[in-house]
Amino acid sequence: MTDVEKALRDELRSAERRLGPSVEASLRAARERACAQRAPHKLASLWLPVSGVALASVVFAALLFSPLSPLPGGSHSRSSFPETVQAKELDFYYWLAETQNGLDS
Amino acid sequence: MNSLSPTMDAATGLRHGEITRLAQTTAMDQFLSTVERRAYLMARTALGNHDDALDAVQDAMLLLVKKYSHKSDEEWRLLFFRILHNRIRDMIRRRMVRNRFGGWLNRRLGDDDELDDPFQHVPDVESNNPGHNLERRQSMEALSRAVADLPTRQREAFMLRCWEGLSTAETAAVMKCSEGSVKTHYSRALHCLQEQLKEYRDD
Repeated sequence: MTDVEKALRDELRSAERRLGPSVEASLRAARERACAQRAPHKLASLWLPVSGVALASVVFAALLFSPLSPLPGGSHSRSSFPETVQAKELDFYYWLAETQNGLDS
Repeated sequence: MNSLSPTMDAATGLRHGEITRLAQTTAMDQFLSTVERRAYLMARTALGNHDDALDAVQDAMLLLVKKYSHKSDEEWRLLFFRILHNRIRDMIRRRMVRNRFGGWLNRRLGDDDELDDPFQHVPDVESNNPGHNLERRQSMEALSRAVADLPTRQREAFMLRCWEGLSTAETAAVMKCSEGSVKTHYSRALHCLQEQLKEYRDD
C-alpha cells in the first residue's frame, strides 16, 4: 500500500469514528431491527416439506377411499349388475311365456 | 436424575438449536456493529444523503441476516459489501431514471438535499482546536466530494480496495468483474483522487 492509499484510508476511517450520536443511534436501531428479523429459517425450511408430505398423504387417502373411485373388487360388482338385469329379464320371459300359454290354451 | 432431554443444555435449559441460533445472532450483531459505520459512510458518500444511506445500510443488514445467517462469519463481510454496493447501484440507477423524467419537478421543489456533503455534519470529537477542526473538515469534505465524483465502478473499486481493505480478488467478487478490471478501476480512481486532492496534500 502506497503512502497516498494509506493517507486516504486513515482519513476515511477517522471519519467513521466521528459520526454524530444520532447517526450512531439510527445505525444501532437498524442493526437491532435486522437481527430481530432473524426468523427461525431452519425450522421453516423443515416444516415446509413435512406439511407438504402430510397434505399429499391426506389427498391420496381421500382419493383412495373415495366412494367415487372403483373398489378393488369393482369389476365383479360391475358384472353383477347385468346379472340382476338378466334375472329380471328371465322373470319377464317366464311371465310372457305363461301368459302366452294361457292365451293359447 | 437429569430431567433434561439430550438436546437440552443443562446450564441454560435451552435446546441446542436455540443456543446455536442465539450464538449466531450475537455473532451477527457483533459483525454488523463492526461494519455499520463504514457502510453508512460509503453509502452516504455514494448517495449523497443521510436517509438513502441509512436505507441502503438497513436493507443490506436485513438481507444478510435473512438470507446468509447460516453462512460462516468469514463470508459475511464479502456478502454484506456485495449486497450494500448492489443496493447503492440500484438506488443510483433509480435516481437517474427519476431525474431523467422528473428532474424539473425536483428543481421546482428545491430538493438540494442530494448535494449535501456527507462529511459536512460529522462532528470532530478528537480535537478541540478550531483551526485544526476547520482544516480537517475542509480536507475531509474535499475527499468526500472527490470520492463522490468518481465514476461508479471506480468509486466502488476505491471504497472496497482502499477503504474496506479487500483484496483484488475479493473486490472482483463483490463487483462481479475480473481482477484486471478492478486493478484498472482502482488505479484510475487513485490517480483521479490524487489529482483532485493535490492542493490539500501539498498544504
